[in-house]
Amino acid sequence: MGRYILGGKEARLPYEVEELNLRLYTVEELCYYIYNNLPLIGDDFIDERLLAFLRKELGQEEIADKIEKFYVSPSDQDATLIMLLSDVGYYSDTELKEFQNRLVSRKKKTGPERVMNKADLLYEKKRYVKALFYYWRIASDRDDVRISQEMRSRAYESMASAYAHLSEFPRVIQTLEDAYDVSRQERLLKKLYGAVMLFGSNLPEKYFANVPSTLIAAWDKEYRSLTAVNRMQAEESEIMGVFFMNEKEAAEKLEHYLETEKEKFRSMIE
Amino acid sequence: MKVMDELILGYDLCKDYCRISYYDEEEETPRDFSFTDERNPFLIQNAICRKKGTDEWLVGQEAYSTALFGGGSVVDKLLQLVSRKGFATFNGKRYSSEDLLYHFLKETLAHVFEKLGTSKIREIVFSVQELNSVVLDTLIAAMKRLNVERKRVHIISHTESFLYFVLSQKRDLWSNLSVLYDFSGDGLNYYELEILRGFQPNVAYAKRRFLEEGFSIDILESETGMKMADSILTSLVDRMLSKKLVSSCFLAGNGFDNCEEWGDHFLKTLCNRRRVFVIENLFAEGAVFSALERARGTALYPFSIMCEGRIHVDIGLEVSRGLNRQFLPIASVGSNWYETRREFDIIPDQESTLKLKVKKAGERNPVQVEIPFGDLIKRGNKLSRIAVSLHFTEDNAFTVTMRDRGFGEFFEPTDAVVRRSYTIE
Repeated sequence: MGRYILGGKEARLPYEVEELNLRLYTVEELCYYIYNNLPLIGDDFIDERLLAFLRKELGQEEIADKIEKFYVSPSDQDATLIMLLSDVGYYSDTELKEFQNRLVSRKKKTGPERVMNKADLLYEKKRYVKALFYYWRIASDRDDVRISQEMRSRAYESMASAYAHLSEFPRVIQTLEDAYDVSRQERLLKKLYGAVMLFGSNLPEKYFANVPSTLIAAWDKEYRSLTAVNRMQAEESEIMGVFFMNEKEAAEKLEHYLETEKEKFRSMIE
Repeated sequence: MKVMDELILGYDLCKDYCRISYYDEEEETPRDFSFTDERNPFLIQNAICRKKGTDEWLVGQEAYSTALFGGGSVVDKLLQLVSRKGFATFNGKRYSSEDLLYHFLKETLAHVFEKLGTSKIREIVFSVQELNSVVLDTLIAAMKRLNVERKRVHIISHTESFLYFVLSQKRDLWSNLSVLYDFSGDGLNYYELEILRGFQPNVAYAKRRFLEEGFSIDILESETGMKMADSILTSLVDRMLSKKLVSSCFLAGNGFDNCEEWGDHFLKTLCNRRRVFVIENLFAEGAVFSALERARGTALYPFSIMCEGRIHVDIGLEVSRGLNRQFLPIASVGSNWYETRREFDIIPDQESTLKLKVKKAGERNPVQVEIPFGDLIKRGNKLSRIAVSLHFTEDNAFTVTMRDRGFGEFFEPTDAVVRRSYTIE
């Protein structure tokens, strides 16, 4: 059964979410932010700033009082978030149940895993510089035994993707090398090959000396087909990025690109 | 005349003339404002003239006299000009009807301010024959130019003025039917007020009917015309009131000014077992009571009011607020349509239409008016904050406008707008 949520008061002074460079103006937006950005919600989320925002800007004194009474330490945070979302009424019981499950599974995660999730979410939101900061924290921490080689390698690889978005190409090469150094995965070498070819550097002997020439030839073919298309379309910088993006992103980008080209072709022959 | 602190004014704005009454707080009664000491001091013709070679504006009889002696040209029937959004030219300069109405109100109110010793208006209620939205908008704009706050300016129909006036009288004058014949340049109009009992609260219901049998005020200038007028009105009253239980009967309008001279039979028929009153400033005084009610902030009479200019329906919407579902009233029976405007935001959750509940006065079950959201909810469930605005365009017609406000900084608003108008049958 449908319903209409009556829009709450709009804040004059919004709640700033620094990490996403985002301002929240209503209690519904606050709920939406919490629900969809859980990895960004730190243990210190429930604080005086949030309570003042609820009370003074949104006129939600009752909810603020309830939180103040209930919340004693960060261990109460998950229950407090559920209480807040439930009292505002923006989310249905089913959605709240799902959120609760995510809170439980988040609790089971290690510290580095939570940092990784945070970095991934920031990357997804195109906050590449902030994402780099958290990836770097994982990649550079040699003491934390909870950080596996695979996780570290993925952190470096993600850094390479973020640098690609920021057009910091020498750093793309460096972080791909670091990723390979950690996990020795062949697909990372392929990415590294593409990066090296793109920036016109020499193939580093250290990494490619033992790679069979047939494999390099296959990579080269794939790389050239991409660059050929790029040159034709004079959109090099945009499409070249796919070589360094993660698979999902690359697939999406290519699909969009191909659809556009098909459309152009159709209009040419019609 | 007494000096007042703040003015509570009733301003009757007819086709040909205007009258003003004010509330005397000491005596707790409305007083008619006297413009001059001439034959009919309480009335001023709706005529305006700009004196040649000066910036001086003249109104009423003064305007006519000045024009007669070549001191400038005159524009009368101001309200007609306003409703046509017309223009007039004085001394080679073109003025809009809003300009002229502004100067007319300025000059007439200047008399009031001067004689009552203050220009501070607490509440002013204009009473007009018909609530034409062009006239209403122009009136409000003109009062804004006079620096009177919008919230202090109100406009009601003559029917509502009549209702307020009658209810302010002793109970035995309205325990049964109360009627009014208003005869002026606007023609002959009949008004009726009755109290509908059995409602909570009881309803004071007034209505107006323009009488086709009416005649022009000008026929009273000849002997034959007067006889004819007497005859028409006599048969009219006989036919209309003979089977009705009438507690009071009022006569208003400049057409009845000397009716004792020409309406012998008419008055005899009317006064037969009925109490009859000739009240010159009835509409202006009724408007004063309406202004007084607004100034006090509480209803003067224990009735809900239904008449021309007032809404005959309740409109609302079921909404969720926090953990509760509640009914959001948007418009209520008895509210002034011109002042009924409600704006609020909603976020639809699994809904593709806005479902308003519309319930006519006296009916038990509401009907549902559904308006599709269309492009307003394209981005996904619960991700569209929609600004809903409902306002009346007449007492039986309303318009709903819905705009996409986006969803904070997560989703930018689009230009999508949905607008629907409805007439209540």
